[in-house]
Amino acid sequence: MRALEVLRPKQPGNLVWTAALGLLGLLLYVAASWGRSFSPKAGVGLLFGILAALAFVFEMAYPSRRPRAFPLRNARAWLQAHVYLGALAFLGVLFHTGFGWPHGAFGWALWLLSLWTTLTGLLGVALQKWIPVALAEGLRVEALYERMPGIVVELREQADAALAGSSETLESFYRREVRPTLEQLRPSPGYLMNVRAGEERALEPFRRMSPFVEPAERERFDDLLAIVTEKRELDAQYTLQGLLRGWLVLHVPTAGLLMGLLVVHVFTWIWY
Amino acid sequence: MARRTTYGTPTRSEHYPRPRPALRLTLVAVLALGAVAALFLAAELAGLRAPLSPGRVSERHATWDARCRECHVARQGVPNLRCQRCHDPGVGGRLDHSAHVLFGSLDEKKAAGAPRLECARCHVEHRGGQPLTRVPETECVGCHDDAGQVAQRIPRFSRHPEFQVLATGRRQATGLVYSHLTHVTLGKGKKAGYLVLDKERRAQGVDSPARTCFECHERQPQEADFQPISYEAHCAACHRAELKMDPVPSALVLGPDALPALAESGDVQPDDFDTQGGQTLKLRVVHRDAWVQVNLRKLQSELDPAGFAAARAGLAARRALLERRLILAQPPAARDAPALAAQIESTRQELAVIEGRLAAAAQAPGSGAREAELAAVLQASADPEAQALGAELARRTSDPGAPAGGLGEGELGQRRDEVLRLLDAVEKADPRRKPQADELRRRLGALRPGQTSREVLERARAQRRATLERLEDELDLRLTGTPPPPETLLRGEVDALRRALREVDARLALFDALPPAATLTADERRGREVAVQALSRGCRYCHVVAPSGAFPAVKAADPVLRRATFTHRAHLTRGEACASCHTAPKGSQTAWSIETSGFSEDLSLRGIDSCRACHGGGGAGEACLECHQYHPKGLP
Repeated sequence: MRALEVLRPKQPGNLVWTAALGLLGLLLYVAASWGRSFSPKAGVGLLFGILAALAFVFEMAYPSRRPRAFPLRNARAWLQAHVYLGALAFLGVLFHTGFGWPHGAFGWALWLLSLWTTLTGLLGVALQKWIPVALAEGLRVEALYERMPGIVVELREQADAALAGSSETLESFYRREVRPTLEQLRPSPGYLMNVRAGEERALEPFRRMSPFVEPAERERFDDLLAIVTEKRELDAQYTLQGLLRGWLVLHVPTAGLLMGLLVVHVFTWIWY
Repeated sequence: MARRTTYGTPTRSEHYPRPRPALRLTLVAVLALGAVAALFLAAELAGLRAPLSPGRVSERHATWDARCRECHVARQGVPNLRCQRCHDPGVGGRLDHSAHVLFGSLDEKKAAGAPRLECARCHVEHRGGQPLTRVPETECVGCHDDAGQVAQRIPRFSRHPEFQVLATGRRQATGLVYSHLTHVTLGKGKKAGYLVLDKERRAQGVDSPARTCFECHERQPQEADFQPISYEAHCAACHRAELKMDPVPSALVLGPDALPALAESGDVQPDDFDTQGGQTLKLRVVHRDAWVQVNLRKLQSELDPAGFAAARAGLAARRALLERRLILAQPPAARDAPALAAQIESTRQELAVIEGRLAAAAQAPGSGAREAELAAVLQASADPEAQALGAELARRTSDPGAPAGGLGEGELGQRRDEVLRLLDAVEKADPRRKPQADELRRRLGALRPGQTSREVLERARAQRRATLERLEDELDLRLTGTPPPPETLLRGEVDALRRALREVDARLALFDALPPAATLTADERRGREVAVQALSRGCRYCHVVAPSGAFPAVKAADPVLRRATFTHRAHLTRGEACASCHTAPKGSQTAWSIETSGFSEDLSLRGIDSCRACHGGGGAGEACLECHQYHPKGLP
């Protein structure tokens, strides 16, 4: 069900427009290539190339959505245009090449970078729709990404303070089985599919220990359990927020490379 | 007190958490963009262009892979000029689109108006080594489909029209008397469906029906088609006995030592002749016997001086054309910069002269006035033939019903022969006039039916402009240090032209070596006509010989399908008997069939339907290029 949610567009109208434009392009391509020679250097093939190049230039201007979002109204409109025009740009590349494989290292580099940038962009869209919902629905704790390491230190200090003066049994349990998990944030890809992944296994030592806790120390024990639970939620937060930011490393630098090759491609087309 | 469950941020921060720089990745991207662009720009400036190549070039062009500027021109792509440097080195324009249109339509006007197509449109390079001859079918159909502008609309093979040679019923004068009827018959019984040789050959031991046709139409393992039929290989075994002549009066023929060419031929030995009783008989006549040919030509010069002069003038005109083409075929790509600069200057001068003549023609009185003037000059001449031509010209000029514009094919040929004969006479009278005569011969040779001299001039102007463009481009290349293409690429056309020129020279030498002919009385004429029959007795067994002794060239080897290429090799591998294509189908009312063919002019092929039996519909290929070529094989 969650997967379906990811596929559902936030603004269906934009998807309809994009699909319509893609279909129009396909029809134009079919009309231009049916029974005739199709060249990326002339006619409709060239038109697709120019449109795709212009779309890529627009895509590259995405960071200029801030602070005033000119000429689009707001950052959301920029994002929508960025996503849908990016998809159309890759379609334009396919039409431009006549759905053929590229030739030569340069052609392959252009084609693969176009594909990679488009796919990583779509991956980003999916992550942006999946992760915030998962975080909101599955976790109680939330924090700024940059603050999380500090919060973990605070939680560890709280745990140390809570366990101060406790019985040897509880102290031993804390030192041996709990405190190592509070040392640092532990991101795990498992949180992407389930924000509570591994929770049972993590809390198993507490269940094992629970019958042996003295009634007088029950409160300390429950506090420790709450701290560990919060730390685990922070781990999930840290992992998923890291993914939300990290996918850009896959997308943005390669987009820059793509633009560089595109500049060279346009130059060689004009010059040669 | 127990610790409360945290909702939201567990604790408040005691300090301001600094967010990551917002544009850090964007900066990386911009740097990547700049670095890539700068890297390639540096490579370009340093002359390292291989990284820019959009793909490996074809195998034949591998030498030029990273030498972009030998093919590419800044802001122009790959102009035809650069392809022609190697592939049409003689500035002949043989490979451009107008040559294709001319080849297909034989219409000079249409060819002149044909749009310019770039070679690179069909021959797409940088496709990972794919051969450039692999041109997509769509390139042909692009012009020849229903919406195309060309007359031949063939959007698919199923709509291919009948071969023109069959549709028009054109029969080629082959110059031979040959009959398949007397050589093969259709087999019966076990040999049904095969052609079999006549009884005489079967008696010689050739009795395999599968081998019948190959007795004469020899397959060669390395060749795409059969070897051309030759007398020695295919006829001599049976027909050597027919090579003989009847005695001719010795006074009418040249002796064996009359011409040096005869001694050089090796066909003439003193022992070969019996010269008793005022008659000469060559006892050993060979195929293409030099003595017989010389004497037939001599008799023709006496019996038909006009035909003889026309044949000689035609050869002289061809020689003039070949000489001009040889000059043009000296590849500009092979020259150094000073030679190119000099040729550019001379071409500019030629162009200025043509422009001047065109401008003068536009302001001059009509062609009628010019012709009347010419007629008056010719009539004032002392030469009776010139006077007759002048009178004829005057008659035509004054004829109000005379058609405007160029002459039709028949009249053009007739008048061209007349003028060529006159030019021969002028050159003989005053050898200093040879250059002017040669120039006029070339211009006459260039004139096509229905064409006016203005159109010829316009064509010449277009040719000079193309030449100038080529030369200027080549000079630019030379000045930027680009070397000429390998010499071997440039030599082919020149060698072919030189061979053709040598052949024409040899034939002209024979014409010129003959003694001048005197005017004949009726008896003398009759005697020479009989001599022609006696001399050519052996020749006439297979060849057409005119009563005057004229010997038409044998054209049996000319391709019947002018616009297409058919090779037997690919078809014989299917194991089909020859009769399956070269005999009329059962029940057909078709007049021809190889086993009933009585004339060498007969076209023994079924037509396009027989091709469709295999080609198309998922069987053999049906692409245009299976049979057709875009570029005509234009050689001298």
